[in-house]
Amino acid sequence: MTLFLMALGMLLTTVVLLGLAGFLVFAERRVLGLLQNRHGPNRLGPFGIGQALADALKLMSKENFVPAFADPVLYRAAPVLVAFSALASFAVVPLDRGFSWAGDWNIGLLFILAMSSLNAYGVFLGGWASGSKFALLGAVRAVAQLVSYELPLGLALLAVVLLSGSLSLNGIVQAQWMPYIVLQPLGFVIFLIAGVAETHRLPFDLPEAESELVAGFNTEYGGMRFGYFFLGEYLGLTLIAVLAAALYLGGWHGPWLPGWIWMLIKTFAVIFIFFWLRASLPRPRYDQLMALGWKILLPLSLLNLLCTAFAAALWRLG
Amino acid sequence: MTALLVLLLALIVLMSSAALLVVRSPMHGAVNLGVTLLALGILFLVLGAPFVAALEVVLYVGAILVLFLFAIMLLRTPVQPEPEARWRSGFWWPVILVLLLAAVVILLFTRPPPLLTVIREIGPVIIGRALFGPYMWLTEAVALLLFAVIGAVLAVHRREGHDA
Repeated sequence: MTLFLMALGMLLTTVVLLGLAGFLVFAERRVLGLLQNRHGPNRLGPFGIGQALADALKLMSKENFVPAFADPVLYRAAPVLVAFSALASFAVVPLDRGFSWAGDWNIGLLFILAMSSLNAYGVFLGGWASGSKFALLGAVRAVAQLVSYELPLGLALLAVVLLSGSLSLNGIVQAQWMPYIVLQPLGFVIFLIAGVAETHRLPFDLPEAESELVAGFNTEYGGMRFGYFFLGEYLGLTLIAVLAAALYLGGWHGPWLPGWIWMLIKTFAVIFIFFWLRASLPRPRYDQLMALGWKILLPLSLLNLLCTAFAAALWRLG
Repeated sequence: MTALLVLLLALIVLMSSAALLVVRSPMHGAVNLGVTLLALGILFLVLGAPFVAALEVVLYVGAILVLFLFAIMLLRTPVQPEPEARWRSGFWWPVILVLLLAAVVILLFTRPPPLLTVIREIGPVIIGRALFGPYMWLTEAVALLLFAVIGAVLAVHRREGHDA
């Protein structure tokens, strides 16, 4: 019975997350419309909210075919890997005090990093297995970008772990007597930039830069397989936002309102920043992207970690 | 339950590492290696070492295998439809070996040694205490070694005269 309930709960969580991803696609188009002084999709349903459903139906009703020049097994497996790794990461994210699947897991943060490296594999294998030049170039860019920005991301997270003394997300949120953005302003900025690069969102969407690579690693994909990549991208975006809310903005802590509402408000605020970035910033050149990652963010994150460690040692001594 | 899971994982590890030896395309080999490492990670998890499991995935799958992937891509091996028959004919030997090894593993785990009954979770805190307690000098020595590698790379680059 317990097992059955757990399975049901997991199914429900998955459905909610998929719905959220669909809604985010719609929300992004509306926000972009707002920022660019135009309407965006507003025909279907109130405020055009039915657009998300229509998009999903369109993707699902399209034919799933494998190009003749593709590697058939890996071509089918890659999109599933992307969507799975993004979904699995949410298991360790707490929505409220004691409201999560595995928020107390003592390697929660490491689990998220591990899943994000699996995500890189999905993207890479998808691009490679497509057997076309655009897709391969996109995949190469994606892997190089993900590997380069995982380092600053991990180092920024390490400073948070150092402050809170815990690797579980529940533990980190509980340890925040004040939001860590106050103690770790530099770490927060590094985390946000590296997070945008990790999810290859604009302005760091070079793996799928449409002006050069058609659609990058998912050029050859169509129908629901493309939909999986899309889901993975928006779930990854949500994950980075949720992490920013839990690790730097104090998670469920907040006055008056219940904890999960605070968590949602903070998450959506960070997601809004992502949309805003997309509307405001141009895409950099690839070498500029690499230089930013290795020559600026990595030393800064090391400095941040060093200072945090020094301060923590002083605080403990004094 | 745990014993069953361990057996299943061992089987996956054996199968995928055997497949790694026989597949033709290097990319399929890399994918098989990835599956092996993932299954090993889960095996560590089941046996009560979550921290090692996470490191296995983050370091080996997330970093080292990526290097393999880059090497494979620089070799410019095109995607090609494989002759299925050869793959199947080459696959029987590893299957037999896997079955043999599986039998050994089953024997190992059905005999009394109370291996699975004494699983105790070793969390990150215990590992940290050990690394920076009794093994501190060893840890620092390894860190120094890493520093030496960086220095060596730098020195080589300087000598060739194209340092960035």
